[in-house]
Amino acid sequence: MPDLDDPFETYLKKFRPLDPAPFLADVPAKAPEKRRHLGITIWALALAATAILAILLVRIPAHHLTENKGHAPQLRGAKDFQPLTLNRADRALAESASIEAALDSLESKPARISVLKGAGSALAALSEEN
Amino acid sequence: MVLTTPAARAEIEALYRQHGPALLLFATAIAGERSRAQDMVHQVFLKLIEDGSLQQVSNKKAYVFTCVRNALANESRRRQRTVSLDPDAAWFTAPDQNLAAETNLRRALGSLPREQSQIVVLHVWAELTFSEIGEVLGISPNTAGSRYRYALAKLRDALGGSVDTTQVAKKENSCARSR
Repeated sequence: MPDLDDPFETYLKKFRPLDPAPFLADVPAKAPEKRRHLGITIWALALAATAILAILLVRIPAHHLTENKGHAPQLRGAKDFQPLTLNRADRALAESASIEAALDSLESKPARISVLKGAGSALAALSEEN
Repeated sequence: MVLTTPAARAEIEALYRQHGPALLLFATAIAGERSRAQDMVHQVFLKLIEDGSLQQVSNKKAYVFTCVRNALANESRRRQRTVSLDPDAAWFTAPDQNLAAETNLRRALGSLPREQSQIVVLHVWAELTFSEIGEVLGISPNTAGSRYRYALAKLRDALGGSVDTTQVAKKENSCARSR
């Protein structure tokens, strides 16, 4: 062992080396936390947007329906119109004697739509203007 | 690429926390530039984490000092230039916030031949034995010891009257007696 100058060594040891910068490997460990926060924020925003959209969708049509109730022309024959569905087709096939008869029964019959009394048709209004 | 286990990574990070200041000082003594020294120390530790190469090492402390020294040597070869010591950047926290003493010590260390300043840093602040210093620098423990002795004498001369070691010794003795 070399002959050491203890008091001088002690004096030198009183100087403490400065701390290094934080190790970069620590950074990725913190990144997922930030990403999680961002994810939560995005989810919260998406939920809020969905809720607002749902409220608007529910309220606006209801509002329009109540507003236009008295003015909408009542169409006769519209109630009689039945759309062609699988159920209806099955029922027709089961009830009819043949496929032709079933097809005949399913044939869409144009409903007679007439305008209510006092309400003029668009065609009549246009022909009057001309 | 070897995946470092969480335990091995934690061990490497603990090494950084424990020896980071001394490693940075050692790297600064070699590079003469604190920012470059900091980069090198970080690079060494990132590589250790990436390779997981610390698991088979018996003396981890000496090994990381060797890694830093080798990394700086390789980098210097690539740069093909010598770097003069940065006279302004502090290396130490001085006792009693004595900035003049810090500057004096830094200049005195900078005035030593590089292999001697490295030995002083490794022995005084990194607390490596001469055997470990020999391992890090690729010299025999006896050579490390004699270089240290020369370096310390030069350092005392360079610091001149700014250090009163007898006062330090008296303080130490009084502390020892009170204990």
